[in-house]
Amino acid sequence: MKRLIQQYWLILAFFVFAMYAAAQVTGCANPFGGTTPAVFDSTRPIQDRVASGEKIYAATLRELTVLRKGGVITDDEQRQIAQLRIKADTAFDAADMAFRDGNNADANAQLTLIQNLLNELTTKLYAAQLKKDHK
Amino acid sequence: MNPAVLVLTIVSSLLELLKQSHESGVPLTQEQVDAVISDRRAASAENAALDP
Repeated sequence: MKRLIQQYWLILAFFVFAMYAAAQVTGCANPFGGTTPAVFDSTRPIQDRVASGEKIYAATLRELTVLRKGGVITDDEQRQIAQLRIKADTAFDAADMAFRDGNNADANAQLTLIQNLLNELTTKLYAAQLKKDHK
Repeated sequence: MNPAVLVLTIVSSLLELLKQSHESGVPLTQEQVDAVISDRRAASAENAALDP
Protein backbone atom coordinates (compact mmCIF):
# COMPACT_ATOMS: atom_id res chain seq x y z
CA MET A 1 0.00 0.00 0.00
CA LYS A 2 2.78 2.37 0.98
CA ARG A 3 4.48 1.67 -2.30
CA LEU A 4 1.29 2.39 -4.18
CA ILE A 5 0.88 5.76 -2.44
CA GLN A 6 4.45 6.64 -3.31
CA GLN A 7 3.68 6.08 -6.95
CA TYR A 8 1.68 9.26 -7.12
CA TRP A 9 1.76 9.35 -10.88
CA LEU A 10 -0.45 6.32 -10.87
CA ILE A 11 -2.89 8.08 -8.57
CA LEU A 12 -2.78 11.20 -10.70
CA ALA A 13 -3.45 9.18 -13.85
CA PHE A 14 -6.44 7.62 -12.14
CA PHE A 15 -7.89 11.02 -11.24
CA VAL A 16 -7.34 12.36 -14.75
CA PHE A 17 -9.18 9.36 -16.12
CA ALA A 18 -11.92 9.79 -13.50
CA MET A 19 -12.35 13.46 -14.45
CA TYR A 20 -12.63 12.59 -18.12
CA ALA A 21 -15.08 9.78 -17.42
CA ALA A 22 -17.19 12.02 -15.16
CA ALA A 23 -17.33 14.69 -17.86
CA GLN A 24 -18.46 12.12 -20.39
CA VAL A 25 -21.08 10.59 -18.11
CA THR A 26 -22.56 13.91 -16.95
CA GLY A 27 -22.56 15.36 -20.45
CA CYS A 28 -20.47 18.33 -19.41
CA ALA A 29 -17.93 19.88 -21.69
CA ASN A 30 -14.64 18.00 -21.67
CA PRO A 31 -12.54 19.70 -18.97
CA PHE A 32 -9.44 18.95 -21.03
CA GLY A 33 -10.98 20.16 -24.24
CA GLY A 34 -9.05 23.42 -24.59
CA THR A 35 -10.22 27.00 -24.43
CA THR A 36 -12.48 27.43 -27.45
CA PRO A 37 -14.91 30.26 -26.59
CA ALA A 38 -18.53 29.06 -26.46
CA VAL A 39 -19.49 31.36 -29.35
CA PHE A 40 -17.34 29.23 -31.67
CA ASP A 41 -18.36 25.91 -30.09
CA SER A 42 -21.22 24.34 -32.04
CA THR A 43 -21.82 21.79 -29.27
CA ARG A 44 -22.99 24.50 -26.86
CA PRO A 45 -26.60 25.79 -26.57
CA ILE A 46 -27.43 28.81 -28.75
CA GLN A 47 -28.12 31.10 -25.80
CA ASP A 48 -24.69 30.34 -24.30
CA ARG A 49 -23.04 30.98 -27.66
CA VAL A 50 -24.76 34.35 -28.15
CA ALA A 51 -23.99 35.40 -24.55
CA SER A 52 -20.35 34.35 -24.98
CA GLY A 53 -20.16 36.39 -28.19
CA GLU A 54 -21.63 39.42 -26.40
CA LYS A 55 -19.03 39.18 -23.64
CA ILE A 56 -16.13 38.87 -26.10
CA TYR A 57 -17.56 41.70 -28.20
CA ALA A 58 -17.93 44.01 -25.16
CA ALA A 59 -14.38 43.25 -23.99
CA THR A 60 -12.97 43.80 -27.50
CA LEU A 61 -14.84 47.09 -27.91
CA ARG A 62 -13.61 48.32 -24.53
CA GLU A 63 -10.01 47.62 -25.52
CA LEU A 64 -10.57 49.40 -28.83
CA THR A 65 -12.09 52.34 -26.92
CA VAL A 66 -8.96 52.62 -24.77
CA LEU A 67 -6.75 52.55 -27.86
CA ARG A 68 -8.92 55.17 -29.56
CA LYS A 69 -8.69 57.42 -26.51
CA GLY A 70 -4.93 56.91 -26.55
CA GLY A 71 -4.74 58.16 -30.14
CA VAL A 72 -3.65 54.80 -31.55
CA ILE A 73 -6.77 54.38 -33.70
CA THR A 74 -7.17 56.98 -36.44
CA ASP A 75 -10.46 58.54 -37.57
CA ASP A 76 -10.47 56.34 -40.66
CA GLU A 77 -9.92 53.18 -38.62
CA GLN A 78 -12.62 54.26 -36.18
CA ARG A 79 -15.06 54.66 -39.09
CA GLN A 80 -14.33 51.06 -40.12
CA ILE A 81 -14.81 49.91 -36.52
CA ALA A 82 -18.09 51.85 -36.35
CA GLN A 83 -19.38 49.99 -39.42
CA LEU A 84 -18.53 46.63 -37.83
CA ARG A 85 -20.00 47.77 -34.51
CA ILE A 86 -23.33 48.76 -36.07
CA LYS A 87 -23.54 45.43 -37.90
CA ALA A 88 -22.62 43.51 -34.73
CA ASP A 89 -25.14 45.39 -32.55
CA THR A 90 -27.87 44.64 -35.09
CA ALA A 91 -26.86 40.97 -35.27
CA PHE A 92 -26.77 40.58 -31.49
CA ASP A 93 -30.19 42.21 -31.08
CA ALA A 94 -31.59 39.99 -33.85
CA ALA A 95 -30.05 36.87 -32.29
CA ASP A 96 -31.43 37.72 -28.84
CA MET A 97 -34.87 38.35 -30.31
CA ALA A 98 -34.79 35.18 -32.43
CA PHE A 99 -33.83 33.12 -29.38
CA ARG A 100 -36.66 34.63 -27.32
CA ASP A 101 -39.11 33.87 -30.13
CA GLY A 102 -37.84 30.29 -30.29
CA ASN A 103 -36.58 30.82 -33.83
CA ASN A 104 -33.36 28.80 -33.54
CA ALA A 105 -32.71 28.79 -37.28
CA ASP A 106 -32.57 32.59 -37.38
CA ALA A 107 -30.52 32.71 -34.15
CA ASN A 108 -28.01 30.32 -35.76
CA ALA A 109 -27.83 32.45 -38.90
CA GLN A 110 -27.13 35.54 -36.80
CA LEU A 111 -24.52 33.59 -34.87
CA THR A 112 -22.59 32.90 -38.07
CA LEU A 113 -22.63 36.60 -38.85
CA ILE A 114 -21.57 37.40 -35.28
CA GLN A 115 -18.60 35.01 -35.53
CA ASN A 116 -17.40 36.73 -38.70
CA LEU A 117 -17.81 40.20 -37.20
CA LEU A 118 -15.96 39.14 -34.04
CA ASN A 119 -13.10 37.85 -36.18
CA GLU A 120 -12.94 41.16 -38.04
CA LEU A 121 -13.08 43.20 -34.84
CA THR A 122 -10.38 41.16 -33.12
CA THR A 123 -8.20 41.55 -36.23
CA LYS A 124 -8.65 45.33 -35.93
CA LEU A 125 -7.76 45.11 -32.24
CA TYR A 126 -4.58 43.09 -32.87
CA ALA A 127 -3.55 45.53 -35.61
CA ALA A 128 -4.08 48.49 -33.26
CA GLN A 129 -2.17 46.78 -30.46
CA LEU A 130 0.72 46.06 -32.83
CA LYS A 131 0.72 49.69 -33.92
CA LYS A 132 0.79 50.80 -30.29
CA ASP A 133 3.68 48.43 -29.50
CA HIS A 134 5.72 49.77 -32.42
CA LYS A 135 5.13 53.43 -31.52
CA MET B 1 7.76 19.06 -2.59
CA ASN B 2 6.08 16.24 -0.75
CA PRO B 3 4.47 13.92 -3.35
CA ALA B 4 1.25 13.74 -1.35
CA VAL B 5 0.96 17.54 -1.33
CA LEU B 6 1.67 17.63 -5.05
CA VAL B 7 -1.02 15.06 -5.77
CA LEU B 8 -3.54 16.89 -3.56
CA THR B 9 -2.79 20.19 -5.31
CA ILE B 10 -3.22 18.68 -8.75
CA VAL B 11 -6.38 16.82 -7.78
CA SER B 12 -7.98 19.93 -6.28
CA SER B 13 -7.15 21.86 -9.47
CA LEU B 14 -8.73 19.14 -11.56
CA LEU B 15 -11.85 19.13 -9.38
CA GLU B 16 -12.12 22.90 -9.80
CA LEU B 17 -11.86 22.41 -13.57
CA LEU B 18 -14.68 19.85 -13.45
CA LYS B 19 -16.79 22.20 -11.35
CA GLN B 20 -16.29 25.02 -13.85
CA SER B 21 -17.09 22.65 -16.68
CA HIS B 22 -20.33 21.64 -14.96
CA GLU B 23 -21.29 25.26 -14.30
CA SER B 24 -20.70 26.12 -17.95
CA GLY B 25 -23.35 23.54 -18.86
CA VAL B 26 -26.00 25.21 -16.66
CA PRO B 27 -28.42 27.43 -18.66
CA LEU B 28 -28.17 31.18 -18.04
CA THR B 29 -30.94 32.87 -16.07
CA GLN B 30 -32.92 35.70 -17.67
CA GLU B 31 -31.21 38.16 -15.29
CA GLN B 32 -27.77 36.98 -16.45
CA VAL B 33 -28.79 37.30 -20.10
CA ASP B 34 -30.17 40.81 -19.50
CA ALA B 35 -26.96 41.81 -17.69
CA VAL B 36 -24.82 40.57 -20.60
CA ILE B 37 -26.98 42.46 -23.11
CA SER B 38 -26.88 45.74 -21.18
CA ASP B 39 -23.11 45.45 -20.70
CA ARG B 40 -22.66 44.87 -24.45
CA ARG B 41 -24.83 47.93 -25.22
CA ALA B 42 -22.86 50.03 -22.72
CA ALA B 43 -19.53 49.00 -24.33
CA SER B 44 -20.94 49.81 -27.75
CA ALA B 45 -22.15 53.25 -26.60
CA GLU B 46 -18.74 54.03 -25.04
CA ASN B 47 -17.04 53.22 -28.33
CA ALA B 48 -19.65 55.07 -30.41
CA ALA B 49 -19.00 58.23 -28.37
CA LEU B 50 -15.53 58.36 -29.96
CA ASP B 51 -16.70 58.17 -33.58
CA PRO B 52 -15.38 61.01 -35.76
